[in-house]
Amino acid sequence: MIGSLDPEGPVAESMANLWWFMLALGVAVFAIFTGLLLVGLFRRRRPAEPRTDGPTRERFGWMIVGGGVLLPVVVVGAVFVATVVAMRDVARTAPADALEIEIVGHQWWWEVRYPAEGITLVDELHIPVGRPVAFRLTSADVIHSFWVPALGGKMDLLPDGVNTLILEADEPGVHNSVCAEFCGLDHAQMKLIVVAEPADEFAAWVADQPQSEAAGGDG
Amino acid sequence: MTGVEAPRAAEPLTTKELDRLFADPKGLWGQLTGVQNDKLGTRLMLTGFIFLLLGGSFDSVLMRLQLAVPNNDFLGPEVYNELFTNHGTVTMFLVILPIFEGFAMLLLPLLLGTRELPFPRLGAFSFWAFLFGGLLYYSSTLFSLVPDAGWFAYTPLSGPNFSPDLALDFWVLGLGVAEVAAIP
Repeated sequence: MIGSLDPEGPVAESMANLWWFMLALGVAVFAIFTGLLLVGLFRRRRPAEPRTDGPTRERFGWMIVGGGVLLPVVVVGAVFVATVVAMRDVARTAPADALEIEIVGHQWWWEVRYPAEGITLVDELHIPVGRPVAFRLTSADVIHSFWVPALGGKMDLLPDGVNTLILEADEPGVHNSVCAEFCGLDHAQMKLIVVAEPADEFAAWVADQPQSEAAGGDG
Repeated sequence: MTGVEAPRAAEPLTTKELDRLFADPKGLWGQLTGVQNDKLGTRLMLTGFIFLLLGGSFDSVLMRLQLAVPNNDFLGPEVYNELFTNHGTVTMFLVILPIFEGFAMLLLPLLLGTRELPFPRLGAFSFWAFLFGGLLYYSSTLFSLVPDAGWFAYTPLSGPNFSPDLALDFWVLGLGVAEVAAIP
């Protein structure tokens, strides 16, 4: 199963549920309309009836109102409600205990900074399991995009501002991530390894890291 | 009910002139100057189909060959980026758009029961603008200046700092001329 359908975090999980719901709905609509099409194709022809416009309109009017108005309203309404429900799982402001990580996109590498811990990494990201992480995303040159399918996302890294994405990992694991917005020659090689580890291992990892200069500046 | 002629709204003097005006002009010159919606609509769709063979099929065969095995060195990243930019641009702006437009140009008068679309000369203008815009865009290949910043050409990647050569100028000017065709 690919990453986004094999969720390992609450955001990715609600997105995956939404995806499955929409797949089921789409399959149901497809099956119903294929069935109607087959009925129309293989129905035995009745002997010709005298053409009368009035009753025909009455007979097919409900099909037009039902299939052209009511059905789309019901289906789109269901998708809308499911989307709003899923959106409640996407945090918009960072909780107080969230870990702050700054990610700066470069052509064609990732700069990962932990401002509070004084750590800077390249093409590698460590996060603790079970603690929300607030990613502050920005770019040093062109537009890049940060996407870890198993954790949810994705969000663009823009050169003119900071986007915030709040994610959480439910279980430990190593995930691969690639830049999700075409950013020039070596876009395909712009990879990031994401390591989600239990809180104690993460603390030990932080203690092991050499302290970089105080974070700041534009990278 | 014999011998009763269907009522005509106009005198034969007028209808004769209208018939002459709406007749298909003859010969090569007639082909070049024709403004009939059916001719132009078919021609737009055929032109779109030729661009489909060029930028749709040809490019995607090359890209699939590159992606067929891992770490393939069939195409370099420069050529690959040019191919997928060209593929997206051509299929979007030089295939889907003109085929829709040609389809509408061909069918709308038939559906509405009219002789022509309004402003037939504008329809002819849009075909020629589309053809020459498409050729202007495609001429980038002759100068080895194929656009390579993605078919959506986001700045700053497509801007002067990150795409300093003239490739994106072919993109924006060629498509600008071609999309004049979308006005009518």
